[in-house]
Amino acid sequence: MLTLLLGALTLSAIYALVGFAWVLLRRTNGILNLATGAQLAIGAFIFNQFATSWQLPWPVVVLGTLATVAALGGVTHWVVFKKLSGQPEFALVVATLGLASALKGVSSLIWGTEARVMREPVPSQVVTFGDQATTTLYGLCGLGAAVLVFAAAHTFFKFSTVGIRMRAAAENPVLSAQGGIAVDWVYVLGWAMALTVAAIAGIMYAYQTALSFHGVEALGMRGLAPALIGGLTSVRGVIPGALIVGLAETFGTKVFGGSFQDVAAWIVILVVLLIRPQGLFGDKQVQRV
Amino acid sequence: MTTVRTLFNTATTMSEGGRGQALRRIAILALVCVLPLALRDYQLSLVTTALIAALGALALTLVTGFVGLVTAGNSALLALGAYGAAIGAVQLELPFLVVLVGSVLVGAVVGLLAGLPALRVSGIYLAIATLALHFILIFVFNEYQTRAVGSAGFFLPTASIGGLLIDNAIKWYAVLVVVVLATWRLVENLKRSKFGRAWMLIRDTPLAAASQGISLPAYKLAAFVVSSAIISMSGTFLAYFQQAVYIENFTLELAIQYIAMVIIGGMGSSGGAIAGACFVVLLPPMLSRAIALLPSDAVVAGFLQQNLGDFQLIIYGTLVVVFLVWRPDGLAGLGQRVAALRLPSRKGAR
Amino acid sequence: MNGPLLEVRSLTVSYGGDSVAVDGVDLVVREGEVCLVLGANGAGKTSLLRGIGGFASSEPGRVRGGRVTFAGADVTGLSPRAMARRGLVLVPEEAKVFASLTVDENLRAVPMSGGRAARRALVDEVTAMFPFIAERLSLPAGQLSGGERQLLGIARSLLLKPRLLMVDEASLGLSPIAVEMVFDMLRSVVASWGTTLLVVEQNVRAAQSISDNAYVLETGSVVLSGPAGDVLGSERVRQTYLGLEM
Repeated sequence: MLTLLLGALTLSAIYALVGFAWVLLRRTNGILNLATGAQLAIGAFIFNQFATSWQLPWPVVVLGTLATVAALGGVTHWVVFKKLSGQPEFALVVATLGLASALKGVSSLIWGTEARVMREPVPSQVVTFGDQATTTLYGLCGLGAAVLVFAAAHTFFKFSTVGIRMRAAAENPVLSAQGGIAVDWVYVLGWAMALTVAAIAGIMYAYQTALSFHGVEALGMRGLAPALIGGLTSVRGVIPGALIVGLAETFGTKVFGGSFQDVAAWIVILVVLLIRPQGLFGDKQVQRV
Repeated sequence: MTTVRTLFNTATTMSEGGRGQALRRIAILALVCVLPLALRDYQLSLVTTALIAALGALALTLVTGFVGLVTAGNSALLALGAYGAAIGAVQLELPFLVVLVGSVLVGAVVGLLAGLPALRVSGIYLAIATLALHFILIFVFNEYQTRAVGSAGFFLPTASIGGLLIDNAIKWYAVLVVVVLATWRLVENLKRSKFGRAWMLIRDTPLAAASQGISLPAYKLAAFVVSSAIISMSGTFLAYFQQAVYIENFTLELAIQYIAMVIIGGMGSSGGAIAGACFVVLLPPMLSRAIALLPSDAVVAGFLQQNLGDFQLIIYGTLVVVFLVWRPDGLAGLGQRVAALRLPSRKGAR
Repeated sequence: MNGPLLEVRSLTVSYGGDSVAVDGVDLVVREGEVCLVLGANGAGKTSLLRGIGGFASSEPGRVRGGRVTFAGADVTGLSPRAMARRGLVLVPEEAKVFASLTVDENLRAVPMSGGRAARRALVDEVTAMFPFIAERLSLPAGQLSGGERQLLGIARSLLLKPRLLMVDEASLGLSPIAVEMVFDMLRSVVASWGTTLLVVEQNVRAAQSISDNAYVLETGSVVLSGPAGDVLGSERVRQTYLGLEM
């Protein structure tokens, strides 16, 4: 039982990271990014390229992945979404779908579709708490990464000038521009941060399972569930959302069998849409138009 | 740069001349009659596949083009029609027409159930609900298929209408030409109806629509329900035409392909949707042919041929983005522009 | 008399479609003066200020024709950010502050120019002008009163060291006392900073005390302009804008 709860907790940590990526883009850039799944997978594959294929030293792997993924985020804004500014919201969503398709093609072309095993910095091992509760080292790593990312994000948005400007631009981009804020760079930063966190989630998940485009992409899409529970724009709301999804998936799989993993999050989404579409823990009411 | 919004405005204010309309009808009719004579069976069945896709694209034009909603549920609704056909034809041994009507009804009901909670809130929630619909329906059908027949999927009997077997390429072509033209008519009529005007008002100026007393959720839902019914129907056609149903066909990428048809064809133009469907369906075989023309010992040719599926994904995805950015009016807009160049006297495209 | 700081020639603004919100407006604001724009609701006052201050690419509004010259340079159609960096700063009508940010964060969000010490000094100077700010630093700006929000909006714009400050409907929705407070502040900004002001106002009585020149807009065009005293004293303005108040 404790092992199961621990499993749910480590899974929730991953979901919190994925949900963070969804919420950040929705809130800062105003985009419901349906390419999140593909971007999660691309991030993990880039990491794998540095770590496994090229066998580079770990600091280079980490910095290289960060730089590549962040650059990819920036390019996404300048090449695609800057050009779409002023278009209706649905055009932006459609563009993310196009992006998802293209990214999947690119990834499959470069890295194929088979599952891979990633090079590990330390051998994976089982960690035992007390008498019976067990989890894996990489599960704990994921938990640590989530705590780190949320703490860093909290500090960044609360105390740093850039973070405050990002919040300002998220609330009112026009007023921000009138106040001299470079809103385009805020958007670039939004994409870069979202893709970086997505990549972290993808990597952590791949270490706990295996690296396959399909698996990581599906996780990325399911991460919409914690984001929706949090109201799509609340970073804080993602945490209870991730716990709900993590528990639902862990216990659902226990009761209904392994393939239930694929749908637990989507059922949660349908339930949320039915009872409280604006989210259970959202900050603000959604505009009804 | 022309934005989607201004484009829509000009598209809606533009009216086609009566003579041009008549000419166009004759041209379409002639093309429809000549095609089966000019093409071989294989090519004709490709065209038929494109026609089936055109049904889905027309339905999607209703939702995305007219109302401005995004749905990712196209693939799931196709699967709904296809698995409905499998259950109806194989398990229940119902006749083709009964199955067809059934799939229309089921499609409408599922559209209602998926759209109802989402459209209470705002447009993008439909994208979320249909994503959930996709993953849940595919999961359910996969489980069902595994338990009923295994991973190979279902094999369907030949479709027949009133004792007449539809068992060759020409017959299928004839049936689908009629269905597509009828659906086209339906979509065009809806566009001009009270519904169509309300939909476009909702898309362009939602606040103005609301202030005129138009119930946004109800009208959005109506569009999505009609569209779901049509897509489900096209799924049934697809199943009977291919005489096989298996789950690997129904991916999220397929749903994106349908969106690509609408975007490439030109949002809000039903003729464009059909053109977009033909483009998306016929691109892979044409690419394949083009690659075959390359010298066979070239490494490039082998690489391209082997990864055709990946290139498809890249091409469709890129075209969606490119058309959204540069030509939100799609092929339909390009066509109008070319027509305007040819006939400078006719006042049409701007 | 000083030379023109802002020169607007046949400016036309539209929000898509064929209709225009501002139709060929000419307007000149000289260095150091206070210029008042009057007009009924929907006359195009806000659109005029937005047309001068620039539209973001995400907005439907566009400058369709005409020319805006600021400090000798052609700035027609520049982005709001470029305008702000040149010292042409707008305090908009609707949202003047970031409601979800605290008062302190609202000030910190402003990208100021100059070195650290200079920035610090400017912040101190501005906060000294607005005593309520120091007391409410950690309060979300959304919880401020209407007058305080207006003042915070002006304070934020002052941090950008504006040469021309455009204020849209400063008195809208404020109590008479708050209106007085806001206009006192504008007066002291003009007096101590030498900032040029372009003010859109429906509350003519509040605005007339500080205005040098005035323009009257009707359906997107200037129908009357001249020294504030003459314009406000004219029959037309007395009937339409002061009638209800006097």
